[in-house]
Amino acid sequence: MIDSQFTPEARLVLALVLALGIVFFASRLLKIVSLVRAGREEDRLDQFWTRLSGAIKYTFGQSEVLRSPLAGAAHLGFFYGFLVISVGTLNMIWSAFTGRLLLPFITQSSGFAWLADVLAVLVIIAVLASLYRRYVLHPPEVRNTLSAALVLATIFLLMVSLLSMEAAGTLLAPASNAPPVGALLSRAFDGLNKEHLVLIYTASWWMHILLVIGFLVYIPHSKHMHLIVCFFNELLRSLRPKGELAYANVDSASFLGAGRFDELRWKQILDFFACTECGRCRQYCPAFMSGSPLDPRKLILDLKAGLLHQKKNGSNRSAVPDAAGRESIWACTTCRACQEHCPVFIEHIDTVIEARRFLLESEGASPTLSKALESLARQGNPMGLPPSERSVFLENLKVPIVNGQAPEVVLWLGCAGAYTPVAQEAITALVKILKAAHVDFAILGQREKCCGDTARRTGEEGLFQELASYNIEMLRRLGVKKLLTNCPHCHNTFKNEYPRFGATFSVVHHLEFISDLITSKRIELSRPAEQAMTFHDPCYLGRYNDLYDLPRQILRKASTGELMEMSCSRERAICCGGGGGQMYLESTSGTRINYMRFAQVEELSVPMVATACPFCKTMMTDAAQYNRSGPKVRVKDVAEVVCDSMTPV
Amino acid sequence: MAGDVWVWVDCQREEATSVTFEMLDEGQRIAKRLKVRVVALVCGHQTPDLSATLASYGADVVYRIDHPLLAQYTTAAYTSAFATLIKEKNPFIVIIAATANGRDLAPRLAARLSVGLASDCTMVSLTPAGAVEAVRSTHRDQVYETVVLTSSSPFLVTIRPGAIGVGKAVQGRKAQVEEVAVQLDESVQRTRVLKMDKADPATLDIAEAEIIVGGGRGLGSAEDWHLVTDLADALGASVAGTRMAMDEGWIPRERLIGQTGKSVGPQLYVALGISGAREHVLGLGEAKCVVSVNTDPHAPIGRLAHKAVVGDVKEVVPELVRKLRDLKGQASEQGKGPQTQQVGPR
Amino acid sequence: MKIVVCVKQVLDARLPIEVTEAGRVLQKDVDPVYVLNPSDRCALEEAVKLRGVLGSCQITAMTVGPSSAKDVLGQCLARGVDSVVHLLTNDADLLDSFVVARVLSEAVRAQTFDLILCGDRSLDEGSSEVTSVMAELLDIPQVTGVVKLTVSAQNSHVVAERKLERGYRQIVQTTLPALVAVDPSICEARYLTRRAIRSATALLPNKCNLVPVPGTAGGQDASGMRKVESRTPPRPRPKRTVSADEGKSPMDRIAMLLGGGMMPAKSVKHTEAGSQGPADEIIAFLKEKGLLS
Repeated sequence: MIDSQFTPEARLVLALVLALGIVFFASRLLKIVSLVRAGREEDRLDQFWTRLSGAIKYTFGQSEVLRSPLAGAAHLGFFYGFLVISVGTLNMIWSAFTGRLLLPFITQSSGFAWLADVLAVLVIIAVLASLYRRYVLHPPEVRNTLSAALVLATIFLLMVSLLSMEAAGTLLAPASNAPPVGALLSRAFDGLNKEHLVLIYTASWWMHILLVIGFLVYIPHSKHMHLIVCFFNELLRSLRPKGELAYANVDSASFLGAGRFDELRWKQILDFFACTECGRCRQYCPAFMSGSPLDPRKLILDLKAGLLHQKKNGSNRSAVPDAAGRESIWACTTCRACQEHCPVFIEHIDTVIEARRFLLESEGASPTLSKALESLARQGNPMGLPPSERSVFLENLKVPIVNGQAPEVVLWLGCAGAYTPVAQEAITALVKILKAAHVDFAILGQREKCCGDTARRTGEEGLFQELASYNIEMLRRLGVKKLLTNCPHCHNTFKNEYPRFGATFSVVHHLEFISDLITSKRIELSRPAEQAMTFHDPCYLGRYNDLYDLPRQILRKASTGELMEMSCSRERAICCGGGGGQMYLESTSGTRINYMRFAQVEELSVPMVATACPFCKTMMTDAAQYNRSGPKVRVKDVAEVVCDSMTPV
Repeated sequence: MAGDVWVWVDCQREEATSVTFEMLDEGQRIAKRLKVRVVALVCGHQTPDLSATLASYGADVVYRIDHPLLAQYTTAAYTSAFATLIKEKNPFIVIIAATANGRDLAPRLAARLSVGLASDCTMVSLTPAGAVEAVRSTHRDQVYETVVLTSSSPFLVTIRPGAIGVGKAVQGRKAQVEEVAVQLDESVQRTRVLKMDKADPATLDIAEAEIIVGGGRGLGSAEDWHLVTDLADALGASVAGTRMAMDEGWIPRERLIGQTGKSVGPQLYVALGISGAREHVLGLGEAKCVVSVNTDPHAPIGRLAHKAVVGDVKEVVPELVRKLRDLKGQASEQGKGPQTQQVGPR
Repeated sequence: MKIVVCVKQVLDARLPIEVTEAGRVLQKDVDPVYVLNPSDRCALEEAVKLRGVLGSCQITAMTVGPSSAKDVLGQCLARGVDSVVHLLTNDADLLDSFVVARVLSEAVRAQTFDLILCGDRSLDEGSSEVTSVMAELLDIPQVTGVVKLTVSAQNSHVVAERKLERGYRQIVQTTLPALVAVDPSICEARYLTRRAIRSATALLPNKCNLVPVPGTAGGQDASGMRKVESRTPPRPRPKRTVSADEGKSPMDRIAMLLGGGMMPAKSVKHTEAGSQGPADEIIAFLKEKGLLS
């Protein structure tokens, strides 16, 4: 780049504009920082090296963003373009004041000039690709706001100004090894005299700098705050197991949950400013897809707006749920699709749960939820059925109940498995498999109380911790070392949440157990089914605990028919709608989630859908029965498919 | 010489209800044992002559107690009236149905008179020694408690409606009617009845409705839902439905009967196009009589229904409605009284 | 306005109950679970609602019971009452209602009050006696089975809607002080989180007025007017039915008798459309059952 002749006046103007820009930028940034710091304490600096290496990988590898190919590719261009070109921009400012180059070993090199040159073009291509994506393809999750348009225009002009500077510069100070694009463009300026070239150069220079300063000021007022926050959001991301919700000290707290914004943890507030408005969370949200008002992106952005617009002394006790919308808060199934696809590690679910904790304390619960929670507290199950009937359905299979010391494997029924007919079928099949394999196991009978998943996910943290304490103590007294369960919710809670409360037993999901039995030949699948089928991934098994392949492997052995995949499966699987307490919350809007998911099963025209969760099985069976006109589709647990294909005992 | 057996006839709606017939039935048993009379107490103001009906169900004597302050039930007036009468005539036992008013009155009366009371009984009898023994159903009908009243007469008991069942009326029996005067002091009245609201089946909570017509999947479409409302109209019934009906938007959540909806206990439940899935049937546990119309002869509702008709609701219901309306027309022609078809036990 | 709410801790009869040989009433197969009587919970909630409407109210909750009854008082505090009184008895067994009413009315008489609120009926005994007897002993008007309650502007009287059978409603006005017994449908009791209940219960030692009740030994007989002879599992009695049982076989009649009245339909009559005409069949059936006059 050619050194412009900077007059003292020009330098003064530059200094003023820069100062103003920095002041505006910094004051806004500081305001945001103070809002974040006002949040409740949380330690997010543990395991620092893991955090740092992850942050570096995500930021520079852009792995999360690239999961969406077109947007990801464009963003890659923006990211690296900015990184490199910013060095050049800083150099421009530095040299304007000092007359010297900043980091000359970089900035003077022709390699750097070439890089900047090429990247500028790539960025322009990225802008065009983005415009194409936004305005021509127009995917539903993209928000075409004025802000986004302006920023794309700004970026475009920044690159144009840069290239124009180069083009003029090449002619003003010819050098061998001139950057190619600049050289190419300079042909457009052929024939212009020196004054004109200088004018063009200077104009481009100022346009570039002013746009940069303008953009700098705009950053903390827009979604482009993510430029600053992203790296930190990745650094400070949650390293808790995916399925563990945030702990709350029930006894020392005078209230639970977040009503005011400063009752959120600081990281939750930081999340608002990391949001890039990409809409991927919304794309896969089952509640949103079924027409409910819950839109994960809108949730975050509404909370951000509520936070920024709250009055100085405003003590709106319920500012958080007011901003987010109560219907939205209660519509969440906690399926984790939003967090799975969020490229900047926003933790939507924890915020929803904090809001629920607060709402439950201050406004109470809906009638069905009240009833379920009260039954849970009194009888240890949300259905309100007597504890003495918990294992009655297994009586004629003569399953032993733990007496004294527990055997190696204890089968955990779970509330759904104990009391709901469709889930009882799955348990019965599992019991038959265990018996065929001569596994030494027993059940807990009526000592079993709900694992507490429903309580925790509807915000009843106190009840959850009571149930957890009870179960942990009960299992400890009986010497239980290993629990086998067929319910992914129980499995998740035991594996990922109970350890914090002192649990030492291990838990294995029935898919893992069955898989072992098959590979070690303790059971033989000599009569595989012949029908085609598909598998519906339970959220708490798949997204929460990364078990996608195992059920498919088992099903392929249990059936010779084709195992088809639904259009949305594995990480993109759509929730059945049963989690997050939804069984007990009335969803008042939209077509039901389970009918929507079931329609995807029907698209495949298969006679059977297999799953590995009692909630999923219940919801899918309900949907299957609702459909009167279509062909009959059976819904079965993987255990049932395996049991049917076993060599008869 | 033991006193008479008294039975309070709560005739707030100007008719003797089946509850009274049950009380008379139980009273008769005791009166026979003691060889005394069964006295029916008709309290109110300008009450109609119910003696023939009461006699046919067991009353030997009818005391008509008329006073303006007794026109509507109020605790103070009725307690005063009864207390005075009981002290004056010294019956052996006073039987009151454990209705809302009965449960309100009896304990206050027992406290006023300091006499023994057994509440909400399912059976009242005399021990071999002649003491009043009552069986009470407590803890949501999971425990039976046998209570013996150890004071001396008069005794008070309230009996749960439906515990005894209504026997057959004996035609041609006659009861002697006595007009009994009672002095009541206006000044004791601290409570005033502002009004009495009759139930409207259209707005009544289905958990309280006596007659319900329910619709389910068999209705097929919103256009056919009128079959349910037409029949409800003809029967003076409340409308309800299954989960399917609610999901389709034919009924609001308040009219859902079932595990996630309401439990109902009507005298009559007419199920149209309802298969009888467990979810729905769990809400029908207390229904006294179930009639079902369904095209499927193997529908599970058949196990629950007292009358199951295999047929298409689109054919059966319009005919049924027509015939019910005809009957109603005949009844009003013959001047039998109220215009609406009287359905439900009298 | 001073409101006293009377509450009771009851054995949770919504769980399966059994009666032992010795006549003890317990839940089947589990350790005893006690709860705040559901209608009393509604009475508490109604009192808190009234406070919301009227502005200022002093709400005191009272219970008669053994030391375990303090659990319900914790819930009362969590629901928002200002103070609680525990009338402590020795007996874990069920006390005679007349005795309870006497104890309560003496305790209440010692305070000034405008309104007494109670649940209409308890989950265990369910006799609805305490409320009426209390009102008589205190010589105040009573309104029972209330599903809607409004207090007049000068706190001089209340208008209450009473629930009668078959959906009828009686609307009465009564002067204060008075006793109002509420039906659970009067309001939905808010859900209280376990945390809220536990933290309120922790405050009990400071907020509870403990009054030992003398001489309640032998509680069941204490009224002197009646005695519980025994408690047994249910034995249904043969009920009269109105349906024409002529033409029924002896086996059917016995089945009817033992079943107690309306027989669950094992003898379902399926009718193919067209024999008598299904509409006629239905009408005939309804007439037979006495459901159609």
